[in-house]
Amino acid sequence: MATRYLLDWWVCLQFQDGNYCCSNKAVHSSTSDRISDLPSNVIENILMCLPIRDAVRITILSKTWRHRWADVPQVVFDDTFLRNSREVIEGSTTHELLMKTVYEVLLLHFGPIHKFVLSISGLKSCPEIDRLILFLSTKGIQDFTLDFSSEYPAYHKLPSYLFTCLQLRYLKLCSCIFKPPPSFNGFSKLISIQFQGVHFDAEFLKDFISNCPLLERLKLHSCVEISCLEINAPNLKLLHYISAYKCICFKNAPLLAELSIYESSFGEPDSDKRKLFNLIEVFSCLPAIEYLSVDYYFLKDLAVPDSSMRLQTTLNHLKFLKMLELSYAEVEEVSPALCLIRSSPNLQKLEIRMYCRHNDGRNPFLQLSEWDGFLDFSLNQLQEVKLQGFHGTRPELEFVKLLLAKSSALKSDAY
Amino acid sequence: MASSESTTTSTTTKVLRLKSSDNEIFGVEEKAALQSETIKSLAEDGYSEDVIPLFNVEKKTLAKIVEWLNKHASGSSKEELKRWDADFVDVDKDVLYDLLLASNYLNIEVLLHQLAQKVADMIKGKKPEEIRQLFGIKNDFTPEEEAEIRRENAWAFE
Repeated sequence: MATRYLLDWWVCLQFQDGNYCCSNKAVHSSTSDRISDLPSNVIENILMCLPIRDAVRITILSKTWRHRWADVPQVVFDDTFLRNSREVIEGSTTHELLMKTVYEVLLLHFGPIHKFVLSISGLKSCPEIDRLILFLSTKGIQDFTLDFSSEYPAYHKLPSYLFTCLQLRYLKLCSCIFKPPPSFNGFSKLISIQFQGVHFDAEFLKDFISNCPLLERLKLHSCVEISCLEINAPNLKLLHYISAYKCICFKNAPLLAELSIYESSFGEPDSDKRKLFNLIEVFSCLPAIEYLSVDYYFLKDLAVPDSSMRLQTTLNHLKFLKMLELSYAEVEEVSPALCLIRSSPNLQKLEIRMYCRHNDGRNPFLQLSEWDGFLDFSLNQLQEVKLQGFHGTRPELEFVKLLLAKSSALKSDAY
Repeated sequence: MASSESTTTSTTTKVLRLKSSDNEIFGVEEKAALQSETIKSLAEDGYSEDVIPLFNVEKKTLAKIVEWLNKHASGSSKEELKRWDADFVDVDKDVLYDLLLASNYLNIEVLLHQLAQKVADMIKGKKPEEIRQLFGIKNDFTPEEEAEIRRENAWAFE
């Protein structure tokens, strides 16, 4: 603390000197060059906000700016890198030329690279990318994004060097094959994983997650089918899962606050193969849940405690509940949905996207409302309800009536 | 490392007193003030009961900073803050530089980023000559040196 304190004073004196000069309004006019004298970390902040093309063009302003970009610890090749992102796709810039330019840029960059992004429309799998990863593994990389265009799903097999980047904190991959060598022991500093269309060994995920002890955010979108998604992550706060799965087990997720689970659109899942999991068990493992977004596949899989229509654990922190493709005509979808609503006394926002299947006059509410304690709940914090795909069928109206009766603070019903 | 007093009085709102380089004192609620890492460490070093001297920040800049700190501790919605922030950084260049230096010295990361983004937006898409003119930067390269830099980064100047 003492060193920090002295340093502050040193900076103060320097700066006061500067202020003294600047108090002279003639020097201080709006066309005077004050920007070139800003502290280097402020300039670095400005350059990190610029697209790479603009950041590199800074080198030509004056001698002060000549090497300013060269040690900014962030290199982002996205669609701003090319004048027109269609250039590669349409072939007016060849892929070879693109990679050559990437290499040229990196040759003129000195110092560490903490953040690197390669996400250009039309990017294809090529050996140059492996050499880039090798280069980055010596540059202290902490935040790495490799994103292949969905127009050419490349499934680039990641080289072993990636697994030596133990400083990694953020990892975002799209259309890659992620196969660590057997000696890999996890990324001990990793905070965030975002995988889209990434192939990995389904059995590997469980150990991988538990070998990244600091993991806070996990997003898996259209990856491989996982037979049992087992979550053992003491620091995990967010899980978005859009892929096929057979069962989910929250072994250790005490901080998980935001959970979205959707069956991916690969087709109807084979329900016979699925293991039903118990609603009580799932939510008693999620004490911190605040935001929950699920689809009807998830709801259908939940076994509702038929004796109480309410969870044993009250979801006290749940503020936002979203349910997709819910059919009001199906009792096995309505009852878990109601069970969740009834167990969330502090719910503030409810969003339901309805799926209207053939209405054969069934009304699960009639069946459910016969149950004794059915009306025994309240939603006093509920402020907003959004119902999409509302057709005004009898069960839908029953549901709206129920919500209005139970929520004193409800402001708007949006259809 | 909050002092024992601040823990006992945590229910009442504690106000920190910040003093600008030109001796103006601003009272700011602790919760708002501690968004600045520099104020936080000065408070931890025992300044919290007295006036916290900020030798690097003039009163006109500190007034703006205090306005930002209060707004960002007020519990406004994300959308409202976004609109408010856009107005806040919409100032002339000299005010922008003063705020950049102050937020850097006070170590308020979020504000520093917003201001840096504002400067970046002013630079984005402009030709080098336009940027020089906008910020009063003098081109001290010889034509040969300038041509060399253009060749070095030809892709960016196409």
